[in-house]
Amino acid sequence: MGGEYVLGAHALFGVLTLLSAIWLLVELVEPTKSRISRARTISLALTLFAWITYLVGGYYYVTYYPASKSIILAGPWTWAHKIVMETKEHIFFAGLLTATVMPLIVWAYGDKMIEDKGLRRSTLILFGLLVLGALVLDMMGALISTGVRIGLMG
Amino acid sequence: METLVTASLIALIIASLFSAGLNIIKETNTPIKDGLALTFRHHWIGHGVITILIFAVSIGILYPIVGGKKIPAEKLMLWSSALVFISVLMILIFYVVEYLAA
Repeated sequence: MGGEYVLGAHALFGVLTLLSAIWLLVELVEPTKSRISRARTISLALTLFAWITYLVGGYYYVTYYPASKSIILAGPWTWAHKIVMETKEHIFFAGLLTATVMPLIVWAYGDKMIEDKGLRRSTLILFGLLVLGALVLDMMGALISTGVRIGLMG
Repeated sequence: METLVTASLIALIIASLFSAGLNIIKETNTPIKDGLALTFRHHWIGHGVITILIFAVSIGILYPIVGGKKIPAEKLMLWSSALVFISVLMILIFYVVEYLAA
Protein backbone atom coordinates (compact mmCIF):
# COMPACT_ATOMS: atom_id res chain seq x y z
CA MET A 1 0.00 0.00 0.00
CA GLY A 2 1.32 3.48 -0.88
CA GLY A 3 2.15 6.01 1.80
CA GLU A 4 -0.66 8.31 0.67
CA TYR A 5 -3.27 5.63 1.42
CA VAL A 6 -1.77 4.93 4.84
CA LEU A 7 -1.75 8.67 5.61
CA GLY A 8 -5.33 8.94 4.35
CA ALA A 9 -6.40 6.07 6.62
CA HIS A 10 -4.63 7.72 9.57
CA ALA A 11 -6.43 11.02 8.91
CA LEU A 12 -9.78 9.25 8.39
CA PHE A 13 -9.60 7.35 11.68
CA GLY A 14 -8.34 10.50 13.42
CA VAL A 15 -11.46 12.35 12.26
CA LEU A 16 -13.66 9.40 13.26
CA THR A 17 -12.08 9.54 16.72
CA LEU A 18 -12.82 13.27 16.93
CA LEU A 19 -16.44 12.81 15.78
CA SER A 20 -16.96 9.95 18.25
CA ALA A 21 -15.57 12.10 21.07
CA ILE A 22 -17.91 14.99 20.16
CA TRP A 23 -20.89 12.62 19.88
CA LEU A 24 -20.03 11.10 23.27
CA LEU A 25 -19.77 14.54 24.84
CA VAL A 26 -23.16 15.58 23.43
CA GLU A 27 -24.84 12.40 24.75
CA LEU A 28 -23.53 13.13 28.25
CA VAL A 29 -24.52 16.82 28.52
CA GLU A 30 -28.13 15.95 29.46
CA PRO A 31 -27.98 12.19 30.00
CA THR A 32 -31.00 9.89 30.02
CA LYS A 33 -31.08 6.09 30.08
CA SER A 34 -31.24 5.86 26.29
CA ARG A 35 -28.44 8.42 25.85
CA ILE A 36 -26.22 6.54 28.31
CA SER A 37 -26.93 3.35 26.38
CA ARG A 38 -25.78 5.04 23.15
CA ALA A 39 -22.83 6.63 24.93
CA ARG A 40 -21.61 3.19 26.03
CA THR A 41 -21.52 1.97 22.44
CA ILE A 42 -19.92 5.19 21.16
CA SER A 43 -17.23 5.06 23.86
CA LEU A 44 -16.15 1.63 22.61
CA ALA A 45 -16.05 2.90 19.01
CA LEU A 46 -14.02 5.92 20.16
CA THR A 47 -11.38 3.72 21.78
CA LEU A 48 -11.23 1.43 18.74
CA PHE A 49 -10.82 4.40 16.35
CA ALA A 50 -8.12 5.95 18.57
CA TRP A 51 -6.09 2.73 18.59
CA ILE A 52 -6.44 2.26 14.82
CA THR A 53 -5.33 5.90 14.35
CA TYR A 54 -2.30 5.19 16.52
CA LEU A 55 -1.30 1.96 14.78
CA VAL A 56 -1.84 3.25 11.23
CA GLY A 57 -0.23 6.61 12.03
CA GLY A 58 2.68 4.88 13.71
CA TYR A 59 3.24 2.71 10.65
CA TYR A 60 3.17 5.80 8.42
CA TYR A 61 5.47 7.74 10.73
CA VAL A 62 8.15 5.05 10.86
CA THR A 63 7.90 3.93 7.21
CA TYR A 64 7.00 6.96 5.09
CA TYR A 65 7.38 10.14 7.18
CA PRO A 66 11.22 10.41 6.97
CA ALA A 67 10.86 11.50 3.30
CA SER A 68 8.28 14.17 4.24
CA LYS A 69 10.48 15.28 7.13
CA SER A 70 13.41 15.91 4.75
CA ILE A 71 11.16 18.02 2.51
CA ILE A 72 9.86 20.08 5.45
CA LEU A 73 13.37 20.66 6.84
CA ALA A 74 14.63 21.77 3.42
CA GLY A 75 11.81 24.34 3.15
CA PRO A 76 10.93 27.52 5.02
CA TRP A 77 8.45 25.89 7.46
CA THR A 78 10.97 23.89 9.53
CA TRP A 79 8.83 24.50 12.62
CA ALA A 80 6.14 22.27 11.02
CA HIS A 81 8.40 19.35 11.90
CA LYS A 82 10.51 20.68 14.76
CA ILE A 83 7.59 21.93 16.84
CA VAL A 84 4.32 20.64 15.36
CA MET A 85 5.24 17.07 14.36
CA GLU A 86 7.51 16.46 17.33
CA THR A 87 4.77 17.66 19.70
CA LYS A 88 2.01 15.79 17.86
CA GLU A 89 3.76 12.43 17.88
CA HIS A 90 4.40 12.65 21.63
CA ILE A 91 1.22 14.21 23.02
CA PHE A 92 -0.70 11.56 21.11
CA PHE A 93 0.06 8.99 23.82
CA ALA A 94 -1.82 11.01 26.46
CA GLY A 95 -4.84 11.19 24.13
CA LEU A 96 -4.68 7.49 23.31
CA LEU A 97 -4.65 6.49 26.97
CA THR A 98 -7.41 8.99 27.84
CA ALA A 99 -9.51 7.48 25.03
CA THR A 100 -8.79 4.03 26.46
CA VAL A 101 -10.17 5.03 29.89
CA MET A 102 -13.37 6.58 28.42
CA PRO A 103 -15.44 3.39 28.03
CA LEU A 104 -14.58 2.30 31.57
CA ILE A 105 -15.94 5.60 32.93
CA VAL A 106 -19.12 5.49 30.83
CA TRP A 107 -19.81 1.83 31.60
CA ALA A 108 -19.11 2.21 35.34
CA TYR A 109 -20.69 5.60 36.04
CA GLY A 110 -23.12 6.14 33.15
CA ASP A 111 -26.26 5.58 35.21
CA LYS A 112 -24.97 7.65 38.14
CA MET A 113 -24.30 10.59 35.81
CA ILE A 114 -28.04 11.00 35.20
CA GLU A 115 -28.55 12.15 38.82
CA ASP A 116 -25.08 13.21 39.99
CA LYS A 117 -24.31 16.63 38.48
CA GLY A 118 -20.85 16.84 40.03
CA LEU A 119 -19.82 13.51 38.54
CA ARG A 120 -21.27 14.53 35.18
CA ARG A 121 -19.41 17.87 35.22
CA SER A 122 -16.05 16.17 35.97
CA THR A 123 -16.67 13.63 33.22
CA LEU A 124 -17.55 16.37 30.73
CA ILE A 125 -14.34 18.25 31.60
CA LEU A 126 -12.20 15.14 30.98
CA PHE A 127 -14.11 14.23 27.80
CA GLY A 128 -14.04 17.87 26.66
CA LEU A 129 -10.26 17.83 27.04
CA LEU A 130 -10.14 14.78 24.75
CA VAL A 131 -12.31 16.55 22.15
CA LEU A 132 -10.04 19.59 22.30
CA GLY A 133 -6.96 17.37 22.06
CA ALA A 134 -8.32 15.45 19.06
CA LEU A 135 -9.19 18.73 17.34
CA VAL A 136 -5.69 20.11 17.98
CA LEU A 137 -4.08 16.88 16.70
CA ASP A 138 -6.16 17.04 13.50
CA MET A 139 -5.16 20.68 12.99
CA MET A 140 -1.50 19.79 13.59
CA GLY A 141 -1.78 17.10 10.91
CA ALA A 142 -3.05 19.72 8.48
CA LEU A 143 -0.16 22.05 9.37
CA ILE A 144 2.40 19.29 8.80
CA SER A 145 0.88 18.46 5.39
CA THR A 146 1.01 22.16 4.51
CA GLY A 147 4.66 22.20 5.63
CA VAL A 148 5.40 19.43 3.11
CA ARG A 149 3.60 21.29 0.29
CA ILE A 150 5.44 24.53 1.07
CA GLY A 151 8.71 22.57 1.19
CA LEU A 152 7.98 21.14 -2.27
CA MET A 153 7.33 24.64 -3.63
CA GLY A 154 10.81 25.60 -2.43
CA MET B 1 -15.80 -1.83 37.66
CA GLU B 2 -15.46 1.37 39.73
CA THR B 3 -12.16 0.08 41.17
CA LEU B 4 -10.90 -0.42 37.61
CA VAL B 5 -11.85 3.17 36.74
CA THR B 6 -10.02 4.50 39.81
CA ALA B 7 -6.90 2.45 39.01
CA SER B 8 -7.08 3.47 35.32
CA LEU B 9 -7.39 7.19 36.05
CA ILE B 10 -4.39 7.12 38.39
CA ALA B 11 -2.49 5.03 35.82
CA LEU B 12 -3.42 7.63 33.16
CA ILE B 13 -1.84 10.38 35.28
CA ILE B 14 1.30 8.30 35.92
CA ALA B 15 1.72 7.28 32.26
CA SER B 16 1.09 10.80 30.89
CA LEU B 17 3.60 12.42 33.23
CA PHE B 18 6.07 9.59 32.58
CA SER B 19 5.69 10.09 28.83
CA ALA B 20 6.33 13.84 29.13
CA GLY B 21 9.37 13.18 31.34
CA LEU B 22 10.74 10.48 29.02
CA ASN B 23 10.25 12.85 26.11
CA ILE B 24 12.43 15.54 27.66
CA ILE B 25 15.03 13.03 28.91
CA LYS B 26 15.45 11.27 25.55
CA GLU B 27 15.61 14.54 23.58
CA THR B 28 18.34 15.88 25.86
CA ASN B 29 20.27 12.59 26.17
CA THR B 30 21.34 11.16 22.84
CA PRO B 31 22.45 7.76 24.29
CA ILE B 32 18.93 7.19 25.69
CA LYS B 33 17.29 8.14 22.39
CA ASP B 34 19.73 5.92 20.47
CA GLY B 35 19.16 3.08 22.94
CA LEU B 36 15.40 3.28 22.37
CA ALA B 37 15.95 3.30 18.61
CA LEU B 38 18.34 0.34 18.83
CA THR B 39 15.97 -1.71 21.00
CA PHE B 40 12.68 -0.88 19.30
CA ARG B 41 13.75 -0.01 15.70
CA HIS B 42 12.62 3.62 16.27
CA HIS B 43 12.77 5.76 19.41
CA TRP B 44 9.09 6.67 19.04
CA ILE B 45 8.04 3.01 18.98
CA GLY B 46 10.04 2.45 22.17
CA HIS B 47 8.49 5.54 23.74
CA GLY B 48 5.00 4.28 22.96
CA VAL B 49 5.61 0.69 24.06
CA ILE B 50 7.12 1.77 27.39
CA THR B 51 4.37 4.35 28.05
CA ILE B 52 1.61 1.83 27.32
CA LEU B 53 3.38 -0.77 29.49
CA ILE B 54 3.67 1.75 32.35
CA PHE B 55 -0.08 2.40 31.99
CA ALA B 56 -1.00 -1.31 31.98
CA VAL B 57 1.38 -2.29 34.80
CA SER B 58 0.21 0.68 36.92
CA ILE B 59 -3.40 -0.52 36.59
CA GLY B 60 -2.32 -4.03 37.64
CA ILE B 61 -0.44 -2.71 40.70
CA LEU B 62 -3.05 -0.12 41.68
CA TYR B 63 -6.14 -2.31 41.27
CA PRO B 64 -5.70 -4.28 44.54
CA ILE B 65 -4.42 -1.18 46.36
CA VAL B 66 -7.38 1.11 45.55
CA GLY B 67 -9.99 -1.68 45.86
CA GLY B 68 -12.41 -0.93 48.69
CA LYS B 69 -11.07 2.59 49.22
CA LYS B 70 -13.43 5.53 48.83
CA ILE B 71 -11.73 7.70 46.24
CA PRO B 72 -14.30 10.12 44.71
CA ALA B 73 -14.35 9.55 40.94
CA GLU B 74 -15.33 13.15 40.20
CA LYS B 75 -12.25 14.53 42.00
CA LEU B 76 -10.00 11.94 40.37
CA MET B 77 -11.31 12.89 36.94
CA LEU B 78 -10.56 16.56 37.61
CA TRP B 79 -7.04 15.68 38.74
CA SER B 80 -6.59 13.52 35.63
CA SER B 81 -7.78 16.36 33.39
CA ALA B 82 -5.41 18.85 35.00
CA LEU B 83 -2.34 16.60 35.08
CA VAL B 84 -2.79 15.18 31.57
CA PHE B 85 -3.15 18.77 30.33
CA ILE B 86 0.06 19.73 32.16
CA SER B 87 1.91 16.75 30.63
CA VAL B 88 0.81 17.91 27.16
CA LEU B 89 1.93 21.48 27.89
CA MET B 90 5.32 20.20 29.09
CA ILE B 91 5.92 18.54 25.71
CA LEU B 92 4.73 21.54 23.69
CA ILE B 93 6.77 24.04 25.71
CA PHE B 94 9.86 21.82 25.47
CA TYR B 95 9.78 21.76 21.65
CA VAL B 96 9.01 25.48 21.37
CA VAL B 97 11.96 26.30 23.64
CA GLU B 98 14.21 23.86 21.71
CA TYR B 99 13.22 25.49 18.42
CA LEU B 100 13.73 29.03 19.64
CA ALA B 101 17.06 28.15 21.26
CA ALA B 102 18.46 26.50 18.10
